[in-house]
Amino acid sequence: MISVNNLKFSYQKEKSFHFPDIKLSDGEDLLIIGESGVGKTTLLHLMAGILKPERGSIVFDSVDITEIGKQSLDQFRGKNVGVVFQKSFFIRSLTVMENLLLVQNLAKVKQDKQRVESVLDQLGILDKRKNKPYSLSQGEQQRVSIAMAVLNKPKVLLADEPTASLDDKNCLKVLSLLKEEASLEKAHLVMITHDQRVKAHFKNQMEL
Amino acid sequence: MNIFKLSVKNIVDRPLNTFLSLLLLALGVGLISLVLHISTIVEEQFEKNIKGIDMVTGAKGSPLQLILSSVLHIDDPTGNIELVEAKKLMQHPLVKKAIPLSYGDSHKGYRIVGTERSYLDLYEAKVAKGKIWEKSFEVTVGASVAKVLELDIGDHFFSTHGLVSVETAPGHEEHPFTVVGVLEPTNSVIDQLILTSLESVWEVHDHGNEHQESDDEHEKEEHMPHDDHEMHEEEHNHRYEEDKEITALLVKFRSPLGTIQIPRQINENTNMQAAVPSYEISRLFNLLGIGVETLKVLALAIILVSGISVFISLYNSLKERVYEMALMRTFGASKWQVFTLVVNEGLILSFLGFVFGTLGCYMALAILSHLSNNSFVFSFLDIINSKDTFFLFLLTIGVGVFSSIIPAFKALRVNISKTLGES
Repeated sequence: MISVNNLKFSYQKEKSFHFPDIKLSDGEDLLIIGESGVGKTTLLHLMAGILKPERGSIVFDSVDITEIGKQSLDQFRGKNVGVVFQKSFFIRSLTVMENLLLVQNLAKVKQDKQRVESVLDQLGILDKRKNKPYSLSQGEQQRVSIAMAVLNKPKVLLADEPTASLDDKNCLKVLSLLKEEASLEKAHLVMITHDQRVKAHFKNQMEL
Repeated sequence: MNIFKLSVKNIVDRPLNTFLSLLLLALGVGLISLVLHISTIVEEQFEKNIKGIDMVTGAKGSPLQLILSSVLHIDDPTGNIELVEAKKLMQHPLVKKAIPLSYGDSHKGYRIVGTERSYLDLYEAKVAKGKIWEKSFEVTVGASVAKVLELDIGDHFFSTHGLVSVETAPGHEEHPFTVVGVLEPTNSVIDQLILTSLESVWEVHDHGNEHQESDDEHEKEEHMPHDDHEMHEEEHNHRYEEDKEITALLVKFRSPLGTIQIPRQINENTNMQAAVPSYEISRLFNLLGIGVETLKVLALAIILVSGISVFISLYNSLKERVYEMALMRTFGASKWQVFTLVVNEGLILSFLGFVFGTLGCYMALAILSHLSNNSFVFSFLDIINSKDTFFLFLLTIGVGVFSSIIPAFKALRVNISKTLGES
């Protein structure tokens, strides 16, 4: 269960965002649609605990992440939040497998090669585990990003415009991968986008 | 996978930068360590060799040359002094012990020294094999000499003039020396010497002079060498006290008063010269000190540059890696973990630089020791245990920390939201 209440965030005095409340019951996904500059990414970063709101609460099950200290917020984020960014980022010096093992290590989850392999297998990129991620194709890179986001079985899978730069065919592919992974790992999928193509695929939608 | 392993992977991932940083660090550490250890080894060696000698008396000339030739045996003698004069000095009430030395010839670069048994006591030398010389032309050789020249008891050899090891050097080919003993290693100058009685040296030279004067005559007489030898013996006995010369006299005084009074008396009132080893050696080190200091400063500069190289390497790589830092933070890394990641990289580089530098220094010392026929002895443990090495270690690690601290703080301050949101 996720609930966001009375959330406000300001970059400077002039530029502040008020966000509508969000309430997701178990098993529910959410699509947040909005044009550029309305604070979509800000909302996503707030929910990921990367930014701290001026006021309001973000509650995962019974934990309000706006009230956790910085150190434990890092850990909470590692264990409970998975993020897929618009662009794929990796640790350049590590292989796909090592990147994923590091993700487990950083969240203080026991390193488990079998778990990594099964996630890679789900996403159809098990044979790339020994490659350096930046040597893979865009599509493969995105799958690795998704693997990293779902690896620690997060409560919520946040996706920031994952389909923006994809053609129709690949857009659908990524969309179904995200939905599949989210339901497989029992995570809420919260996607922000300005991409109208994905509208049809979400029951729960919110306009910013 | 963990932060430490990631640090290592990151270092390996930029091989050229890493190579440059390691090369500079190892060069700086190796050079400074080499300078420190060589000067320590040489100083210790010198101090050990001059221990127990308050004054050296020899022929007039350079006092430093007298010390270098009579105590350390790395220079030519200043000349000879009369034994009678030396004996007078030996009777002086302030003189506790006096050891006469007569030298000038060598065998394959190792000096042959005619002396008395008390010379062995000075360096606490013990016989490892055989015995101490007794008769003329019997020699007891130092440990290094025996090892390098593969001399054993019963071997014969001829001496040559001077300290040259060239085979064609003019020699004394009619009087072979016989090895009767080998000394235990003392790690002092005695390891490099061939010791014999004063008489042996005198006889070689008396014979040599005669030989030169009457070369043809000698050849004719060669069928009766026995008589020839006897004739010389008689002659020696006649001339023993009056004409005999020695090259130097090592003196130990009963009290420090001797060191103050006697060298001056000798230098002013006799045609001999007196030199104080400790004074001459410290004068020598003062001269060498400038060179040592210059090398130290140079090596420190190299270490400093290596620190800058580590800094630039980390700082540049961080420009690309802010995304990695932000990514790691998103996946649960704390600020201090990314800080540690960068500092680790600096520490690993400086630690490896130190290890390679120290190994390089050890290898250079080993080669130098080998090239100089083991004339200085050191052990790897001594290098590891020395205070210099410890300080050098701290210095290198310090350089590693300082060069990585700014990039590390940059990594710590990465704004995750801005870095990942703006891309």
